[in-house]
Amino acid sequence: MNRRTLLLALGVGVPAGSALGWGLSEWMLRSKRASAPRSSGMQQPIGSPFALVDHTGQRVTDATYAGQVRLVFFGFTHCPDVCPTGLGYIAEVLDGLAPQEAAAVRPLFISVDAGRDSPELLASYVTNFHPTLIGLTGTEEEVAQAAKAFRSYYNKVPTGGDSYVMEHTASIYLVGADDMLRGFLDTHEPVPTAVAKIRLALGSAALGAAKAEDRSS
Amino acid sequence: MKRRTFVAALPCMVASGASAQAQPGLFAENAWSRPALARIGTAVVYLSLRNGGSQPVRLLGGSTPVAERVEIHESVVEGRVARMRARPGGVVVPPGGVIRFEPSGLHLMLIKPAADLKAGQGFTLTLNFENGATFAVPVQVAMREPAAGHGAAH
Ligand SMILES: [Cu+2]
Repeated sequence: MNRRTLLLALGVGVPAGSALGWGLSEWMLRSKRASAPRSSGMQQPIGSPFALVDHTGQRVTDATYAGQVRLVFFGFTHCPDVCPTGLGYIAEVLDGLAPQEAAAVRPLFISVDAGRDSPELLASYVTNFHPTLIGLTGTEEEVAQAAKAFRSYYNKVPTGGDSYVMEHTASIYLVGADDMLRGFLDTHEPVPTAVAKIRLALGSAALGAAKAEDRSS
Repeated sequence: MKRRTFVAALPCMVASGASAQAQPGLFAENAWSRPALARIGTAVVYLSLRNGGSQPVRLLGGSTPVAERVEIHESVVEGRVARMRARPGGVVVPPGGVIRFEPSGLHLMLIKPAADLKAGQGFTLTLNFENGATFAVPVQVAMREPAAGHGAAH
């Protein structure tokens, strides 16, 4: 009942519109790729290899999360605005999914600030946003390799004294269970749009809609 | 629409004594902050500044008992890359205009919070204007923007 209401509420405008937008942007990227083969497009394998440590202190690699739909966001804990905005958005999106759907998604926050972001600091940081959020960090080299695996950019910018900020790719990667880049979430888009994108990646969108239709007929 | 009514009905801004005279018609709306850890050393405040007066007003910065310094910053996302820059010259609110300090854009950055900021708590942020006016604004700490959904008026 709950689920059906949710589906109905989302049913008309948002998924149709966002699916259209999604398809369109994918198509545009594809056609762009045809003329510029080196541009990073959709449906390319992404995110390997890497070896990092999670916020509980466990060593992990790309294989740890292989076969699962992933949301991947690069940032740093000292980032006051863009990172909390991205992580807050991810938290809202996860809460917008049905529990069994959310349980099938691995949200990864990869620190680009190896110098300051220890697993222990990440633990106190990520759990503020969502209980399922996973913080990853490592040595400078490990972090650099992880960023490279996702074709992600970051750079240290001194801000006077020994303080600094990191500039970094702010996209939220949506990676399919097949390790393909399915696209990006955009914090300017309404949460239901991101939910619809993830459902597409989970392959549960069609399934859920069919179920709702079954029940109403 | 609903949001503006809510804001107008709520005395979000308290003019502090004499400065109220200096700047009639200036309103701070929807001031909120995110939970933050003191050991990390940064926090943020978002709000909207509405200038109903006939003169432009320049916000230079602010101060708060909960942090060492307050600076005006701006996040800029260009080609998927997020950068942050200081706005030491402040921000002008034109007459009849609104300046929004909002996620992934202009923000008031709190440097070195004295203690953790927790959702549900409140604190005061004093805004300093070029003309000498100051305003004490009550700020609410929350996980997400209070009383406004995503994608409200851009
Ligand atoms: Cu800032």
